[in-house]
Amino acid sequence: MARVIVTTSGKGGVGKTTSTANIAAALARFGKKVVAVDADVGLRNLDVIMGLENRVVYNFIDVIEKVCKLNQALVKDKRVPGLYLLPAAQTRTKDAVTPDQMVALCEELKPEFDFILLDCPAGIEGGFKNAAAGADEALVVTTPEIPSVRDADRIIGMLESMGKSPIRLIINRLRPNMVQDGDMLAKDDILDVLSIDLIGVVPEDENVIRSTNNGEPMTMSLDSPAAQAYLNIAERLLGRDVPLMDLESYATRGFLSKIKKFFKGKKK
Amino acid sequence: MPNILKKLRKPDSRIRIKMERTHYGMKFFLPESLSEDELLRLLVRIPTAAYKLPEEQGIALDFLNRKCSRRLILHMINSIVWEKGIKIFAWLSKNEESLKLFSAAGLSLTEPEKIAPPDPVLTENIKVAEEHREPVSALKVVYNSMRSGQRIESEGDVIVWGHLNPGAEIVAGGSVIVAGRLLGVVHAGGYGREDVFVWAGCFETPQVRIANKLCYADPKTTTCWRKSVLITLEDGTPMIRENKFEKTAKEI
Repeated sequence: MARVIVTTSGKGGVGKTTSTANIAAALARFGKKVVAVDADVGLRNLDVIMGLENRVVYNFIDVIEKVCKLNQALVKDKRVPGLYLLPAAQTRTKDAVTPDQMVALCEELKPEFDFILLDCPAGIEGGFKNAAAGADEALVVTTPEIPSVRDADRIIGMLESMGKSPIRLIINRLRPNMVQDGDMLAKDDILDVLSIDLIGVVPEDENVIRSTNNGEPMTMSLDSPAAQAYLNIAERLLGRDVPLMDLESYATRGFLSKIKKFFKGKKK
Repeated sequence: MPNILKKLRKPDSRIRIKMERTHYGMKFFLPESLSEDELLRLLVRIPTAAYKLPEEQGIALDFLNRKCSRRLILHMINSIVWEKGIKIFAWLSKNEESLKLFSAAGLSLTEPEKIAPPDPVLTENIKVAEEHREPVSALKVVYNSMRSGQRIESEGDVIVWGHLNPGAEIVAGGSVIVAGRLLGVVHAGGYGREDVFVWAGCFETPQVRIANKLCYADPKTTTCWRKSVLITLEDGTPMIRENKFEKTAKEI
């Protein structure tokens, strides 16, 4: 029976879809059978990030409306065994599905997979409620910015009231240099406000943009800090005890930056 | 008189609200020379007992020639009528715009000619309803942190045994205690009471509301920022006091 996990955030643009694609690919690399469901009806992107947009024929709204069978809508990723995508409809709106239908869809998927990852749309309205309805667990993605943390806090409150457990946090796009300089919220600052378990910290990495545009999740091949962070998150989801990455080493900068920092420190 | 001089002028302490005994109860003549805030302050200061009249009697408010604002009416209803539990029979004025405003708010514009004797059935029903009314809880305790978007509204006091995160809100008729970090919005004395306080374990919010006062705090200039504080109203002015005896308590 599959574990159903919703990836959500409240705020848009924090990396929900990227996280879903990479964690799904990483779990599949660890031998699990995984389906990534794009629950962002009307604004689907998961197919593009996973590089499967050309192979989408049906979507999950077609499954719900019984236009096609579930197997016809599932897109198998040929690069990684056990990785599937269930795309969203681009031409419909979020009202096209109800929470009950989403629950029924997840129930139909559960016997076939080990993990069902639901990529939730931004916001707290119907789209979020539909996606969250089908899930048992949640991954809340936030960036180290105050608006993002506040929205994450709102979403956590809603997930708690819906009875989702465990709710775990991914801190995305952390820049250790900026944290060291005091210009960015540190991991502990965020955890102090949100008070939930941290499942991983993903550093800012230009490989994310590269992999998004290439349509290949980083965890499939690329060796980069963000890819490693997503692999670690997948391992933690599997119950393995993986220590947090040492992001301080990524904060090492060039000679000029060090001189700049030296003088900045002297001013104080 | 130029505006600047008007601002500097202190309210004349000899100005009083004239009260007159009438067949329906009392009539208050509200002096025009006072500003709206001064008038409200004067009405609030009248002890609640002074407004108490026999059950079938009430009060008429005569604003004379004053041009009343919506704010004044709202504050009068909030801080005087509801807060002190008085019965207003009529809202009188010689000013056309004030009368229009009263009329639009559905307030009675004429003094009662004679008082109808109390309906015994209605009186009995009210008594029964009063007896069976569920008591309003004076204290609400929240045993966890409040997250963004969560809101509590209570007629009594509120204690949050955790943090009040940014975007969370408490409106309390009484006082508010946030044991942890105060990052959200707190409104103590939300229905006009001024004898209330806000206590925060760690003060980190840019705004606190007490009664009808709005207090802003700038993290760069507020010395009590991220400290344990008590906020009260003293003579209508918000006061913030840092907890400086914590060290002594630890030593003990």
